[in-house]
Amino acid sequence: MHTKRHYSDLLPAMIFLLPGLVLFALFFLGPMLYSLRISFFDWKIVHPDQSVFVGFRNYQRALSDSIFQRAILNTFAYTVITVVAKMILGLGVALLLNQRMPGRTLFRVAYYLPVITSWVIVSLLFEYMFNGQAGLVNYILKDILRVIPKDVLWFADPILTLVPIILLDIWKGIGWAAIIFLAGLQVIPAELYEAARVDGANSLAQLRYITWPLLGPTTVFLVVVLVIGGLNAYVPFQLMTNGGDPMDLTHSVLTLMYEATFGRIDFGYGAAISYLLTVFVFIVSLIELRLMRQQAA
Amino acid sequence: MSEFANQGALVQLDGNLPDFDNIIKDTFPGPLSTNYWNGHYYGLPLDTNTQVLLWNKDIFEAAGISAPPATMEEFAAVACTINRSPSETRYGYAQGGTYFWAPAPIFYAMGGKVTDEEITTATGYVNGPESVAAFTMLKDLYDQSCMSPNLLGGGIATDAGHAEGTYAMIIDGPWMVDIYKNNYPDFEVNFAPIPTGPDGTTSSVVGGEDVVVLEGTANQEAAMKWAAYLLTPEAQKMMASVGQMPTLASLAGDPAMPPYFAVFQEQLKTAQARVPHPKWSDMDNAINNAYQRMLNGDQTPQEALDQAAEEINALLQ
Repeated sequence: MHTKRHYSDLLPAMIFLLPGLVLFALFFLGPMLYSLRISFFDWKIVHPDQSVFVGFRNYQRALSDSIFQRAILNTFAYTVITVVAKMILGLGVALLLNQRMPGRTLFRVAYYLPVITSWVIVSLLFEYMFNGQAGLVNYILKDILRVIPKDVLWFADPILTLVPIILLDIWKGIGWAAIIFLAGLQVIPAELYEAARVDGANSLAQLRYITWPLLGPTTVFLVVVLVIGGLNAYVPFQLMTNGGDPMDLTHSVLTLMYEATFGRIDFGYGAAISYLLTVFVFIVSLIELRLMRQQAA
Repeated sequence: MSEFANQGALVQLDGNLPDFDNIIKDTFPGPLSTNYWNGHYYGLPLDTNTQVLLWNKDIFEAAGISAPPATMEEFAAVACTINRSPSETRYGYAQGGTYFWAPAPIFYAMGGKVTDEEITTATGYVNGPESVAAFTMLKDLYDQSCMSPNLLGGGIATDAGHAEGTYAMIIDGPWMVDIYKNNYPDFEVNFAPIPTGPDGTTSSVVGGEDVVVLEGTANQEAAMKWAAYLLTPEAQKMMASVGQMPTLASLAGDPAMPPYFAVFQEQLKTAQARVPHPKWSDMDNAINNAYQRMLNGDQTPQEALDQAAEEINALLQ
């Protein structure tokens, strides 16, 4: 039996939604669409009416620019390494924190603390720790453990620069992945484990046949969200590489976008970069969801 | 400056601002030239600064040297002979980075130029003999560990290193007085002119700010009056009292100036502005990358600067 749609019900709903919708349109949708428009122009910010329509030229320029390609490589490598590490370590921590033990809440808090630290502050701290001449890491590696003969100039090398950036993200993100996994673990009925134990399954088998499959939705959620976050990395890259040092080899896609837009005042090019990233993130998310759904079936 | 002038954002001041020619007669040539674009002036030099040599007196005296180096040859020699106690690493000289502002004073003092006067080409200028000589000297200092590797990134900062005695000499600006007052109050900062190049003259690089009038303003006349006022001795003295160096040559040596201004104002007589062109950031980048390549040993200074010349020429098209 169809319920009659009462428009008198719809009206109050719309009125409550309206403020949120207006704010969304004004501060998200509007600028996003305006930015899309800008990406097709050689945009002049002083006299916008003099901007020249260039079609897809900004996009073509980006895709054929070796600096942009390097930025994609950096961002991609960073995302893959940090997401895999956070998933594995996060699950490990979650399994540990799922046991009954004294001080469990304290440990959960401790593991989550890095998540709520300020990106800016911890980026600067890691920058100091990895300082090539006076940093803590070099001191430990060279003077205490004696595994390196000379100071490593972390931030002077285009590849080594990524090490502190990646380590920072993993350190900061394990807690969040762990908490999400914990929530997923709570939903698994204890009887399943009991039944398995009765059938003679050891911890590893329990993990493989019960925990992992039932964490499916949680895993999907985490992978999608962590990958989106990774591809959008900005703060640690900007602070630790100062915009691509050395020689524009350590950019993330967003630091390159920032430099193009606000450093070179090339708004059209910056907008094109940001939309290329958007499309890429969207496609990657779709692929992830598709793959994960197939696996679950 | 020229980037905005090129976009049509600024009002041309020569011919529009009353008494313009008289006002600019007293300004230092370097700061004034930063307002020049395409045959006209689009601003007035509001305050200026330059870089001079900072030398750590304690380290010098411990090494038996009583005065800062006067010529570039002395500078290179001192940088490499400054005492090194076995327990700590010490460098004779350190630069803040490889961006052009860092080697610029030495570059200009040794006769280096980025482009010709009319800004049409860089060939023969940024890769000319004087420019190559300047960068070769810096590369040699780096290779011999007389110059700190911090300039490649992620090392000890020049201001901290200088005060702590890790760097005997750095080249920096008048803001160091305030910085040291706050961070290293016991450190006595000593300034000296940039050592002279092979032809006996010194030079440095000009920094500072210009005051402009925006196109499309409803109060153009009033804005111009304000800009003109900011360049009167009265206004410039007021700014000097908060550490902003005046652009009026007549105020050099004026008793109202803080005493440490003296060496900077003397240096300003010979300091040169960086290329006033809308694409200067990209040119800076080209030289920056060339400097990195030569320090890494990927190219010789001549090869690296040749490549920079090509890249800069492309920007000048």
